[in-house]
Amino acid sequence: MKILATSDWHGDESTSGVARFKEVEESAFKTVQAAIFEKVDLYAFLGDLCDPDCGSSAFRCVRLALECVRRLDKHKVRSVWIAGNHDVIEDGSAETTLSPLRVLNTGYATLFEEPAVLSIPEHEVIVAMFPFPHRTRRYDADASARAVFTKESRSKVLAIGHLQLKGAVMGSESREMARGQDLEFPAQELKQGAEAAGLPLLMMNGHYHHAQKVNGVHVPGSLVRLRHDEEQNRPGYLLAEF
Amino acid sequence: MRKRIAKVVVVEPLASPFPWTKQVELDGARPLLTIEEDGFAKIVEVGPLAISGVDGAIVRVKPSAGASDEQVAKVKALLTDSGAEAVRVMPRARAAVASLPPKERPAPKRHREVVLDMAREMNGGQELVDLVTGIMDEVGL
Repeated sequence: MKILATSDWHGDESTSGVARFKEVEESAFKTVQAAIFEKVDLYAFLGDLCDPDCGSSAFRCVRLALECVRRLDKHKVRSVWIAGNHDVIEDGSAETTLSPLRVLNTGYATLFEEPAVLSIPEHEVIVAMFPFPHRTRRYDADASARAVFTKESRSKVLAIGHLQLKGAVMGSESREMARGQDLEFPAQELKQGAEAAGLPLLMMNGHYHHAQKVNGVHVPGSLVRLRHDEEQNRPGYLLAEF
Repeated sequence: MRKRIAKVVVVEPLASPFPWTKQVELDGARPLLTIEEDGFAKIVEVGPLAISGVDGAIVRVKPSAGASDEQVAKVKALLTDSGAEAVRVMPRARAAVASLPPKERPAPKRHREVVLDMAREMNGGQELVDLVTGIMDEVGL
C-alpha cells in the first residue's frame, strides 16, 4: 500500500504582506499530481487547511480542498482528511474548516474530525485517525490507540494525527494554540500495541512545519516556507510504502 | 512524456524492509531570507554586488543601530531591484546609551539658569536677558 501524506497548508497565511495562497495552491496540486502519478492507494491530509476566522480567504482554502478531492476522486485515489488545531471552529458546533468535505464522503474521500478507525481490507490496513480535538471534545488518545489493536486484528496499522509530539523541532507554529485542546500523539501506546500484536506500524503526524522524524513518527512538514523561522525548511510531502 | 515535479532528498529505510518512507522536496518553493546587520552594512558598502539569491524571495532586513534613513531606503531599493518579492524592514537595533560616570556628569541646572543661558545665546543682547529675568522674578522661577 502506497501512501502520500501532506499537512499544514495554511492557505490563509501571508508573509510580510505577501499572500501565500497561490503558492500553497500550486504546491497542493503538485501533491495531488504526485499521488496520481505514483498511483498511491491513500492520500492523507494531516490537518491545518486554514483558520476559520481568516475572512474570505477561508472560502478559497475550502475551494482548494474540494478541488483536490475532486481531482483525486477522478483518478479513484482514496483520501482521508483530518482536522488540525487551526481548523477547529470554537463555537460549540464541533465543526472545522474541513467540514464542507463531509458532503463528499463518497467512498474515495473521507473526513475525520474525531478519532476514528478506517479499515482498508484490500490492503489489510487499518488507518487510525487522531485529529486535533475541540475544546469541548477532548478525547483519550492513549485509549483510542489501545482500541486499535483488537485480538482478532491481523491488519497493518497506519496511525495519522495532528497532535503534539514530544521532542519535535518546533517553530513559531507551536506557540499558536488559541483553539482546541492540546493532546499528545499516542506514539508509545501505538508502538507497544503493535509490538504485542506483532503488527507492522507506520505513524505520521502534522502540526509541525519542519519535516522530521520524531520517535518513529514521520512529520511531512508544510508545503511552503511560511515564516522567517522556517527559512531553512525544505517544504515537501511524505511518500511511504507499507 | 511524464513531467518530473519533485526531487527526492531523503530516503530513510527502516530496519525492516517495510514500511519505507521518503521525504519529497517540492521544487521552486519561495525562499525567505533575513539580512542581518552585517549583511546590511555590506550592501550599504558594496551595493548590488553584495546581493544574491533574492529573486522571488521575501526578505526581512535588520538595519544596524546607526543606519540612516537614506541607507535603509537604498538597501530596500537595491533588494527590490534585485528581484525580491517583498522587503520588510525591521526596527533598528537599539543603540547603546552613552553615559558618563557620576563624577563627570555636569551638575543639573535649575530652570532659571537654563532659561537665562538660552536668552544669552539669542541675539536679543542684555535687553532680552533683563526682560526674561524680570518675567522669571515675577512668576517666581
